[in-house]
Amino acid sequence: MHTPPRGRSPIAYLVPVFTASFVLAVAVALSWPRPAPHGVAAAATAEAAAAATHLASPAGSFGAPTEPPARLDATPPPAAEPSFEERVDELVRIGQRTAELAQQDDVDAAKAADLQARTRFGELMDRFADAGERALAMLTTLVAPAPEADLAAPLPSDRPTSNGRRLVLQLVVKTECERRDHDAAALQERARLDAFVQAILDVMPGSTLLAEVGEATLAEQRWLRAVHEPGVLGLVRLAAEQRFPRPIATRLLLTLWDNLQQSGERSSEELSRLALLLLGDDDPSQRTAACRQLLKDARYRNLVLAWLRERGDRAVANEVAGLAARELPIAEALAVLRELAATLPRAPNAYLVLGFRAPEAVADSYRELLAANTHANVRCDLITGIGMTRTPLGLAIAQLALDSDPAAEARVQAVFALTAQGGVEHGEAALQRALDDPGIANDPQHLGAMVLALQNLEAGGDANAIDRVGRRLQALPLPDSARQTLAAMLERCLPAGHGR
Amino acid sequence: MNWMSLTAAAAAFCLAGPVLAQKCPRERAVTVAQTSVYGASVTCSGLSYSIPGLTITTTTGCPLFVTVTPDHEVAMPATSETMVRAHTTVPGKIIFFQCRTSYLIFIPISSTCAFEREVNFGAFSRMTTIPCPEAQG
Repeated sequence: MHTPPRGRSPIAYLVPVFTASFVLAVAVALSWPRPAPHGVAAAATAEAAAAATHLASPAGSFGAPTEPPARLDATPPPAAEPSFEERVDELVRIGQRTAELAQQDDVDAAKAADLQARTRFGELMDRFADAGERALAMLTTLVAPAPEADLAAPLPSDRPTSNGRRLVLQLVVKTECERRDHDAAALQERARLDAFVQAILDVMPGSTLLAEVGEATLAEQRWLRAVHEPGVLGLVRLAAEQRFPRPIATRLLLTLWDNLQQSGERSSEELSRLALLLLGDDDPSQRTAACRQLLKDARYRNLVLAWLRERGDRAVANEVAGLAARELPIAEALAVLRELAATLPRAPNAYLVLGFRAPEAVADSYRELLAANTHANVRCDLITGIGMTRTPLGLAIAQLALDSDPAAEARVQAVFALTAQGGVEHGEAALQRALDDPGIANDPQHLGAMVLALQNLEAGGDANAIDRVGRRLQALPLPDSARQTLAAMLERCLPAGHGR
Repeated sequence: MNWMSLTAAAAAFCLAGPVLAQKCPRERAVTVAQTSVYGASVTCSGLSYSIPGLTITTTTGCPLFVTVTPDHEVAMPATSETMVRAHTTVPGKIIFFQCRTSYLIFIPISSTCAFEREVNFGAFSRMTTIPCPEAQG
């Protein structure tokens, strides 16, 4: 039998050498610097380092982070990088270019430019953890633009406009709120969001532009909470001193109350009790908030209406009518407006809002009151509300009113609706019908209204129709001012000298 | 003149006094200042639009309509022997707007909240307070 020679083979000597080499290779490989992700060159280490410390992507359109974000303070960008202000101006230029392309109907190029704007905006938000604060700081340096000049004029793409900067910075402030809200939900910690919202409230009194940006960011959003109550009430106080726009202060106070209730920081009961205390407050913003809170609560609605009747203040009643029309369910809004009629005989604005919200309900309400032949003033407003909606239902109700309503005021109102929305044919027929109506044709004030209704036909440009109705009106007992208005209209619409 | 006639005359005088007094409505004209109310808004760039005596502005968003009720007077109860007299009728207006934009552009510079049309929705009276004729007499 063959016996192998004693001693080790060459392979046996090589095994430890290979093993050692392999271990060494693995160790070297593991410790070797990795290439930058997505093929970013190592030369871009500054950007990559900044991106590594950077803060999670904001919520919403810029993508959600895959894990709870770890926030760090802002890292100052290297000197070679564009500053925050430069990035904002770049975005304005891209926006202006997009607008130019859109106006030139270059759809593909406009879409590409818009995509670039979104990408650059995402980069800006990613790059600056304190983008919101920077935007607020930059906004304080802007003067209020002249919107009509900025928006209507041709857009020069080489010079960022004030309005363009405002739009971009406003977007930054809004996105910062969304980003911090997203983080607050992930971390169960609202401190950074609350601090930023407070910063917005703090700068708002600085200028009208800042107040408007703050309003656009905070109103009817969920950011305002109990911690901001002193800040909001501070703006209300400034409004009382006429140092801050009253409507903005009121809107923020209403938003705060909504948020307090929705977040559970205050119960509906607590807010209603507070509202009862504030109902008689001299401050209009607090009073509006109180009225709104109590109107929304069915238990207190009659109390508010009784308080309004007792007070007899038309301005407050008008305000409450607007709130009811905008915010209450339709049936309840209609009921509140009808109750308010004792204090506020006419509320056309509120009914117009309702007409656009729920034309069917407004039409039903008109039919109901017409059948009962009650509330003539309310019927007038209902005709306005439904008749101005440019719908077949609106025209049908206006025609019904002209044909059947026993109140001359309601028939006059129907003529306005038919001339405004029914075109020349319906409009002229309505006017001729009204002038056949002794209740209208014998009343100078109603005839004055007919001249104003005839103005609605001017836009249609049918000179013959205007001539026919105008001649009839001239033969009737018009008030002097209406006669002058009519003469001027005929002068405009008819061939020279014909209207005189 | 007999007793019957005298009684009838006295009764007529007693009844006519209050009736004559009721002819004066004891009203005064109270001015209601011009108001504008914005309808629902759509996302758009802001609006700045002027009509005589009023500038309508929004920072963002385009109201689909704005109603403008002009300065006008309403008759309110008065303690003095006065009444109101309408001398002019002025229109309440609805101004319709439309957001004109070709695309949903991220930076909405190109979208403009543009005037669409304006219509008269109603008539409002300008009134003055005058003494009742009986008071003058």
